Amino acid sequence: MQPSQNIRHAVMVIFVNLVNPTELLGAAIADLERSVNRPGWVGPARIAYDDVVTDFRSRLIALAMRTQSLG
Amino acid sequence: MIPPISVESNTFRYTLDALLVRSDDLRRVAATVANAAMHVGLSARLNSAPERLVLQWELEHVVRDIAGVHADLEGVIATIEPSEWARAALATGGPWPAVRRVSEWVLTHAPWQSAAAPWEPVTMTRRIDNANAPRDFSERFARIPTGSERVRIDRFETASGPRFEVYLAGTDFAAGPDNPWWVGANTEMLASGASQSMSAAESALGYAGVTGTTPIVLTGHSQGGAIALAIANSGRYSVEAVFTAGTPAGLVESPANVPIVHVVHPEDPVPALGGVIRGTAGTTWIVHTEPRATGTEAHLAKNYQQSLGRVERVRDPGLLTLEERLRIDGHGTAMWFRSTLSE
Repeated sequence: MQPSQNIRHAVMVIFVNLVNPTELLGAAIADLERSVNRPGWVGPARIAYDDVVTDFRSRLIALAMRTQSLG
Repeated sequence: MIPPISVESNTFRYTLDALLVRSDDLRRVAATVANAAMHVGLSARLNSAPERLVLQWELEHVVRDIAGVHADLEGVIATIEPSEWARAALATGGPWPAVRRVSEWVLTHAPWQSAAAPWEPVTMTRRIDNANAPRDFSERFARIPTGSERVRIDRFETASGPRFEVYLAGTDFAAGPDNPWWVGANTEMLASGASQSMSAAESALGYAGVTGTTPIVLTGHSQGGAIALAIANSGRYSVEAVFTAGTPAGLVESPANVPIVHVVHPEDPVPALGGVIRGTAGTTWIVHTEPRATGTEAHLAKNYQQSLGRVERVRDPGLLTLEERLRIDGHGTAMWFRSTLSE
């Protein structure tokens, strides 16, 4: 491995360790929950929006659990 | 076709706010998940873990789906007419105090003020004694009078006493200051919360037998809706509900304890002229005209009548419950009124 590659590898390690993807996905799931629970808009368009966002939330929960299990 | 959308006044005054805040939610979530996917991908390369590459691919797939819905939402927002954006801008309260001040000045200094004679008590032009009770908002709106008649009142005798349905016409754009329903009445309403048209409507209420304790339901188009709100807010009547269409509802205070349903066309500039809705009660239905009408065409009662049919077809539980609660069986007396100022 060349020195420049070593440096690049070290930067990637630091960068990856700085952020926990599971926490990011947790924040995204919380945002989606907040979006579905926002009051003040009713009607067919709101129902369609809530259905779509609830589906996204379920998919993200499943992916967050996998992310966490991979460490 | 964009379906009718209802918005609770106490949280989101306009559809635009409701859509913008959700669009922002999706944009933020897509960015966060994309960030997570990137880190999972880096981690996969560092650790030579193919299962993480699969996970990254799946996360990116979710990001694309969320971005697709976000784009759809932005597409709907792009169809919202300039008048709706103007309403949202006015909702910030920025330019509105200045407009109110100008209205007050106009009201104080206008030449017709000194020339105006006291308004004539309303005249009942006709009556019929076998009127059916209206069943919904659409049927109420269809009863709003046109021409020189500006108020219709239906009186129904029930086991608990008389009940009234009041239908109020909007601004008579052909009228001058000798007619309480002329365009200047809107300025009066904005500056003082009352107008000669409101006085004339109250005179008609008294003529029809409405007292402070008899239940009334008010329905108005345009200025008629503002009169309805002002009457409901006066505390002088027992108002069960207010229905408005194409009304610049922000002209007057909205009562807090009365069910209110507004219907507006986003293409109609008139509701925007009222600025932000004052008060926290009520639901606003935003209905796009079909086929698309713009400007004054979008303000016409016939176009609102068509849109009200679309709102009723949504069969919104909240609206249906209100209409059912207001339902009256049997027949009553319908009375029409007109009013002009004395010479």
